[in-house]
Amino acid sequence: MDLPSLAEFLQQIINGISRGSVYALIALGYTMVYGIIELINFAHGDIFMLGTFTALTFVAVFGIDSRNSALQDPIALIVVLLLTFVVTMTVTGLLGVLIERFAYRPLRNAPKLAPLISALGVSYILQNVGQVWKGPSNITFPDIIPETFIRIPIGEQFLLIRWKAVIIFSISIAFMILLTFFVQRTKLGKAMRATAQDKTTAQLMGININRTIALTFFIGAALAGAGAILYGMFIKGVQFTIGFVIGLKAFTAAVLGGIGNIPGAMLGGFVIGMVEAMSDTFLETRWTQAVVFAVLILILVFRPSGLLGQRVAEKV
Amino acid sequence: MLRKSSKLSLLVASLSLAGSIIMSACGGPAASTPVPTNTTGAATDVATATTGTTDTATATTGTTTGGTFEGNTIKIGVDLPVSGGDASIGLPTRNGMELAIRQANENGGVTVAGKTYELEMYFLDDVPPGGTAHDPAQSSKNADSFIADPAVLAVLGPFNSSNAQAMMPKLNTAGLCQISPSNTNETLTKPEYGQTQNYRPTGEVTYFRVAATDDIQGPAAADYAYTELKLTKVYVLDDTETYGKGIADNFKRRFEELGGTVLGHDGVPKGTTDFSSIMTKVAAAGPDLVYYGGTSSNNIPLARKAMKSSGLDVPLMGGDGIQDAEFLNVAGEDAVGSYSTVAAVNVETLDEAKQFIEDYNAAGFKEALGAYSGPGYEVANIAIDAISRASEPSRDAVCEALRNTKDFKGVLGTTSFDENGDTTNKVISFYRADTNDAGELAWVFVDQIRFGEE
Repeated sequence: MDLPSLAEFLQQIINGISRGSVYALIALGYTMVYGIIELINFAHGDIFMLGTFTALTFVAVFGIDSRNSALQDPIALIVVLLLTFVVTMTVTGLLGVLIERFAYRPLRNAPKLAPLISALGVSYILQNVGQVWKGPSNITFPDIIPETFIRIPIGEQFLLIRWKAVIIFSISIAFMILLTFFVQRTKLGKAMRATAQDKTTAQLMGININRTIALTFFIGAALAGAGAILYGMFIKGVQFTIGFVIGLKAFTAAVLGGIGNIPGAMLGGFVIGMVEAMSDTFLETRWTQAVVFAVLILILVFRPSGLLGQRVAEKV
Repeated sequence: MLRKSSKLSLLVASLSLAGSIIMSACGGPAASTPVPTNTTGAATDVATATTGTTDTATATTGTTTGGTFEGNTIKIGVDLPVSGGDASIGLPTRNGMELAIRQANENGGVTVAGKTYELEMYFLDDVPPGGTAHDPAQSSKNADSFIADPAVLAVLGPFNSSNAQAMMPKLNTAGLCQISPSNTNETLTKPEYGQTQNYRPTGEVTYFRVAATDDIQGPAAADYAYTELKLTKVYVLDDTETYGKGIADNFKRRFEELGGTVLGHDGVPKGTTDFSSIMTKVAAAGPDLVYYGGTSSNNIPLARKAMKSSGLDVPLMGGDGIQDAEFLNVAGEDAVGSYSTVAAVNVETLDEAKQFIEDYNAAGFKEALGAYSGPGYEVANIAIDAISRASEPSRDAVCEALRNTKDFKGVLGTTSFDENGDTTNKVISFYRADTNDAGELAWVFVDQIRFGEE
């Protein structure tokens, strides 16, 4: 087997990071929801999918579509991009809250399996909504930011960095810092942590449990919306089924990092993105899925609570 | 931090693994929306399907032994993918078949053993409900439905070779003959590849096709790339399906024989959407052509986009699996500079097909003429011809007549079937994605090669 050149290797690291940033943003939603109500929100990937559709529809308002993409004026571009993030994240965030209100809250005290099945049901409903909305085929996601490259010569070859990759990475890191700050340093964040630890006691301390849980869903789903825009710009094509595959990967990332653990989900996302890129580089693409899940199993065998999850005594 | 838990982790791992297996098995989750169909023929689907299944007990005993049936309508089963990413290639093909059946009925139906019958298309989609692409498991179920309905005397389709693999053994055992307009995988029919005993367990040939096979299509593409386009270094990819891997292997073999260099060959599983790392790897190898065996519904248009964004500015070439509107719609401007082959003659170049093209355009179909509309029309006419030549309205008699199809003059030229059920009329046509005379992005016909009888 030929070893990749340095330029190719660095290029693959960038690919892995870009891919990983999207997984990480989505993984946060899984981990936050699990952390607070111990529910695996299977509908999360489909919220992401509807996020890509929302962004696609919204930018079309500005005349950005598959034929006529990338605004030339940089100020207009930044404004449109900002608006796209605000609108998409608000839509997906509210969708997350709605789903929590109608599909999960009534089942909060039911056996654990009930909300899980409810989540699967919501996932299918959202997929059908997506299919009816945009049809079953792939749809081109327009270049909101123009496709330009930074060329860095390395020996004979060039390292080709997509500006999009830089933007995707910066935006996702910015969101992660904001989220960490929010959870660690604000009152609402404190309320979230308290609710996660012990709902009853938190309630006794005057925390509005319902509102806190709704807020968690809002933030998680809004981050999926942000991930959706980044994914769309990077992959350039979206389809109503992508939520399942991406959701599965992001969920795996959350488990890998230690489900319920916020830095864990971010780390897990980047690890999965990187493992995929490296497997594509050093092995064959046909093995990549197997490699990802083999890594997951290995990590869980040796660290059952995930990379950053702490070992806690089982409650008997 | 939020609460950590060590519970669940292994359960969760197995869950996600199970999820991935399901994913790879059916290419996406199955939802339950009924697939919209838009032709008059499809309107009766549900009704015929239900009566078909309730008849199972009597039908199977009656028809496997080749008995005749009572009734005034002979059904022709049709299995094609007409939704999801395959709609843009499946629908124009079905329109061709529908046109042939409609014309036969307008001319008074068919007469078998002195009795005149009306023809009816019994159509089943092989994209599962809510799915995005053709699924062999669905074709297998459709085959059961066709077999169970004693009025079905011949089957047209499927479109994809992997679906043919699922249908062939069932139809063969039931003695029900099928003709595919588009299957190209060579192992389906040719005994030298050692798999035909799986597809025809009874030993009788019950499968026919009018498309040339991939052991011609793949090498023809290699010839074209090497001698016409003067490209010498290729990176080969495939979508890991029967058709995609088969045609890619054939391309690779011929390209090496000609003296070209194959820099690598990798398979990209269906469901992949992020092609950035595979295309980085391909770009690093420095090819002047990427050959991609597979279908548009397996995201090859996204791979084409990823080529551009990985700085890989070379042509992409594929087989008939990418010669569709889906490829052009999704890849958009990036599609320009792609090449595809079709294992059939371009009917627009033949005088025999002028009337057909006029009729097609006048028939009021929503979809424009596609690469396989002509072959669709042809297989339907071959089936109708065989039914009219049959000695009695039974599956056995229709099969017998089909095997004796000799010098059938139709829109593809003159067709006979050889002892394996393959057509003797072998043509590969070449197309390039480009803006056509009307200024629209299209597959522009560039050349075609006729292969003589071996």
